Amino acid sequence: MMRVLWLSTLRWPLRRPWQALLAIVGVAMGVAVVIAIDIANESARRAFLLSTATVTGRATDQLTGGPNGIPEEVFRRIRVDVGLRESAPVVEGYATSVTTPTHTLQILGIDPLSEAPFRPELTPGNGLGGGVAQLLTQPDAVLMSRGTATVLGATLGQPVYVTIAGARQAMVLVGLLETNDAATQRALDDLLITDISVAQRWLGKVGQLDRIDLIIPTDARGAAVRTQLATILPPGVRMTTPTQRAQSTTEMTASFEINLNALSLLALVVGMFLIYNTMTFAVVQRRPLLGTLRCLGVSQGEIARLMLVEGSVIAVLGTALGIGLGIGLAQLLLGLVARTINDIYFVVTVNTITLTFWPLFKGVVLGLLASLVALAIPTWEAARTPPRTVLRRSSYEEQTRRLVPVLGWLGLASMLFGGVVMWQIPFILASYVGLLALTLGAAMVTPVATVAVMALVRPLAVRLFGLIAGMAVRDVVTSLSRTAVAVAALMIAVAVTIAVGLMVASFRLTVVDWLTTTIRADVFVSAPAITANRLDTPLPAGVYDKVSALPGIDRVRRYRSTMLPTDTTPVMQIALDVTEADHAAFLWAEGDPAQIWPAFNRDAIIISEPLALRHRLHVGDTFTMRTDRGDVAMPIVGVFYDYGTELGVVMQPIERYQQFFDDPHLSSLGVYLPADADSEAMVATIRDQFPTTALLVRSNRTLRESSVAILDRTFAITNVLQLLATIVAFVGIFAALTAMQLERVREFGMLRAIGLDPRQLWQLVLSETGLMGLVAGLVALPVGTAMAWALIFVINRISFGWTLQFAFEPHIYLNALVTAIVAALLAGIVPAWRIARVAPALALREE
Amino acid sequence: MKSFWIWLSCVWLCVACGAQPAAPLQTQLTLAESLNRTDMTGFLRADKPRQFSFPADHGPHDGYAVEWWYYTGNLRDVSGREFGYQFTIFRSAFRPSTVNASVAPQSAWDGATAYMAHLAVTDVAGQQFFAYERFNRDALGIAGAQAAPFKVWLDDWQVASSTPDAAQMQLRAAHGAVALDLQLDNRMPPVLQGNAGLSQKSAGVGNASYYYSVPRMATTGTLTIAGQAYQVTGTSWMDREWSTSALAADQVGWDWFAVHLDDGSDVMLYHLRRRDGSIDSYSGGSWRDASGKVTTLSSADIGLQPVGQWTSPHTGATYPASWQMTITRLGLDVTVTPLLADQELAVTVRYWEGAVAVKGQRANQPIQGNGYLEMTGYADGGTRP
Repeated sequence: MMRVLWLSTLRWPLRRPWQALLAIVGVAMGVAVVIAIDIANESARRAFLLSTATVTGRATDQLTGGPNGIPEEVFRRIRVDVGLRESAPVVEGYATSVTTPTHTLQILGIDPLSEAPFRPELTPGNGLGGGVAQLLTQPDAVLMSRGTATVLGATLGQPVYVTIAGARQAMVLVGLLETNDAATQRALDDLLITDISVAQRWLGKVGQLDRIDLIIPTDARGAAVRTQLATILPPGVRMTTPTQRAQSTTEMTASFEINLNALSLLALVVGMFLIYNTMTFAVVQRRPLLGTLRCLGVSQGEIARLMLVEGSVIAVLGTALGIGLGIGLAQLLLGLVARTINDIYFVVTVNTITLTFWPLFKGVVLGLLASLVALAIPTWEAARTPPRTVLRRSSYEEQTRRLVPVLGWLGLASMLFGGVVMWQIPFILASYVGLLALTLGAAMVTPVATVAVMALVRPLAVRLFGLIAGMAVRDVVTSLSRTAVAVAALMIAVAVTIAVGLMVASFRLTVVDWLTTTIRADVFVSAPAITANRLDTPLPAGVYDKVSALPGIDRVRRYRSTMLPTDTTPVMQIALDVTEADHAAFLWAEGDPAQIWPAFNRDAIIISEPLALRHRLHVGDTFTMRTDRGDVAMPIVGVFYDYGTELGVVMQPIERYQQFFDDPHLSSLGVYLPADADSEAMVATIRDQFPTTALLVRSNRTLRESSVAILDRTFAITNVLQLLATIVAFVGIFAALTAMQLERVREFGMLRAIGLDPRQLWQLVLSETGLMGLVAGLVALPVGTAMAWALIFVINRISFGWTLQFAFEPHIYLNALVTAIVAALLAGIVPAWRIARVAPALALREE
Repeated sequence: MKSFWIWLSCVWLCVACGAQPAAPLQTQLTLAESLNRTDMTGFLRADKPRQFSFPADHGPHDGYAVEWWYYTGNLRDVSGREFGYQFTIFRSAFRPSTVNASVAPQSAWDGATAYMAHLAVTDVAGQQFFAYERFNRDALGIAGAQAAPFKVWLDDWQVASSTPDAAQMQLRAAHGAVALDLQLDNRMPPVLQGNAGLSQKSAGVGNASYYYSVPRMATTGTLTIAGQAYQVTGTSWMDREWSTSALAADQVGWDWFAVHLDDGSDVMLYHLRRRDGSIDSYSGGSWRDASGKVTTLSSADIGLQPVGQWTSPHTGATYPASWQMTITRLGLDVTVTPLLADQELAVTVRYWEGAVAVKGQRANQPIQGNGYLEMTGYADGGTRP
């Protein structure tokens, strides 16, 4: 008996392979998106940690300095006065390959004679061989991995070129870094090892060290060394551990990662709806069969088991496929993730994904769990229903319709709950719970909305398009048990599209406005940097004097921006010239402009809104700045709007900065011209002044454009996710509608028999699906707006600390509506085509 | 005069320029290669006798490719517990200081000179031997040498004099389990080795070094082993040598003896071993009697006979277990026995150098003493020519 049962179950999907396939694809897509984001994030993070670990080696402690690093004299004192032999100086920087595509290469300047205890894999050949000795004796000598050498086209002993800070630099490969460990080998890729003197020269860091790595034993001698170190370290030099340092760097991307994860979870929610939809549909379709089986004496438990097994097979296959798809997708997303991190946060060189246990595990659990949860309700339903009722479809539809208002109220309550949670609990996790409650609530309200919309549309449809349209409207309502979930899934996907679209538009609007306010100079001069929106690369000496001396210039504003370490994530420090003319470039979130500027020029600082929110700082508080003179608590006199970095910005006059930091460098210049001057001509003039220096000279317009371009680039990944969510939804709606319509072959055959021609059948089917698309689209409009509101005013503010303007963009709504309807219509084509092709008599033959 | 092996490890920095990358350096280097490949153009050569002047000559001689400050000593604490120490700083130029590098030095790390230092301590009663090695370049003052006031240092390892005449030298070095803090009395006139300080090592003008010794420096101070400080007194020997190239291709190793005898005389002997096992005729030494009179010894004057064998448990290299030293001209016939068999230095280029006891006869009178023995060119495995 059981065998027959299994066979009957097996036969179902075999007869409808496309339906099973779509269910599998639905699960797979949901899982794929989630794990792809996870893997891409994890790969970028691991690549960063691994390369950090490789360049940190076995150091127990690290000395780091201010913006200008550590004076190298400190190293002499550590060696000669403290006598800590296990100390190694490091000068770091980045180069770009001249290959296509370009590679970012990390330059690690070391003292080979100090390396042995720290990074044995970087000084191969027993510490002295393998080209390490040549590092000391041969100018511009480098070591690199075989992979990097291949990428750069470098051969031993031959010069090869890279770009450092915009300038071409020749170097000579004198040895290859080789290791048997695959992970280390990967960390060695894109790494250029060179002597510290060469690195200092290449990177313009003569006289300074970026850090000093130390190995301090944990015994009494170590304690003595620490005490001694404390007495010789200048105030700006700090001792930290490599872990702390790497952590505070990776924490910079926390908000970014959380947001990506949230978006990927949205895709999973859509995916869950798909699974739920597919499984519900599979049960609903089989109600007659199940009823028959029940009548034949198959128990509830056996029915439930049957359904569960079938669902599990779909879940397992879908999850497996999803893992495979996700890995492929991760490779595609990795580039986008890495580019955003490089644009905004820090340099990470990562070209291949790293598969780790957790993202895959998460994918498997989510895929199986979501499938089973989605499966549980229809299974329970199928098993529970008395056999007599099961056989009657109408009973089920009636039941569904009775459920609609209940569901609607529940949905409203859920949405309300979501709103309150987001409004009242200012934590990122709560916000996401709130957003989820809002989304699910909206899904539950969708059936009510469907009934309501159909009631509204029906008279109009009949009047405009006649009987067929009226039939279509009625059909949508009468088959609610089959349509509701599909419509809800499509609605959520479309709402996500609207929400993300509005969020990006709002962000863009705000930033463009802000750029117009703040970017005022006519021409900007800066040094090329790898991290696009960070300007900590110093300008070559003399640029300021030369530019200031040019005729036809009103004034030149100086900027020095550096990353300032704090106890947690680093903060951007900007020192600048501020004259009265510049006051209008600031928009204040807090503080009185009349009081801000006198205090700013005296001893106070101003901070950006994200910093204020993140550290709960207000006007009147102080911010403790780690300076080369030690910690200095500076009063905060104003909080300005800033959308440059969510890490936060502190601003101070450049004169004061130079008192507190031994850093005479400038990062950029803002050149102001007389009102009628041609700024593009001045760009050319300034470029001509420095024919051999790598300088970025940009007009106001170019800078603004490139800033917006970077912004758009950072949203590229958001757009991809949005697209993926839409695809998932489309697959869902396609699966649901196709299945639903095909199930009605007999009904359509009847209609054909009583005179409906194929053209009218097409009309009927497409009207139905189109109407469902319309409902989904209409409901998605307010829901998407609410989600956008949540994203813009709650989630963005909590994770990034930004106050954004809401950009109401009608075209986003229009696009969403059209997308919903077109997706639904497209989903109707296959069934319409198939149904119209079938001869009525054939369609009427039941079995 | 010291080990060519150590000398060799000093020249690696120059030699490496011509070596093929991506293979362990030591395996590629034979003495001949190093000498042939190294471009010594631009360096000064020890090609004629010179006028020595002290304390100026305690300082560095930058025109020459390599140079070393070599201290060995036999010490005892109040209870008679015996110790030995070796402290050496080698200077090795990457390129002649007179020749400009292709890149104008902008960075303080663009130095043209590397320093290497060895610190070894022998605890005879404890049967312990400690040896450490360090490298630095002459950047930022993390290593260097200067004449006035005299100082030669690498990190916090240093020998320095606080007075302009360098009459007293303070030797301070600590690493791992051991620490030395010694006062060396430098009031005896140096012994100029070879031909008035020009020590020919092989055929050809310039294949020589400038070489002087201060054989008997009264030494007091503190020697610490694993936290236990010993107040020690004894005698130290300072060897100073600088050159640009000295050895011939078939000279594969040497044995060097620095001996304090209890009649107040000091002996320095070395013999250069050739590839075929014979002793090179450029071997030699010197004898200074208690009155300070110096006798130069040629290879014909000295007899050095290895006795027995000791195989290193660390490298598997086999060294002579002890030596029979005869100087017929002086009627000296003594055995030289290591105070500890295992005084092999586990450093980049392995060699044996340690404290020895000397016992025998001079002119049929019993005589004894102590000193230091260095044996090089025995260790196998990549470091043998």
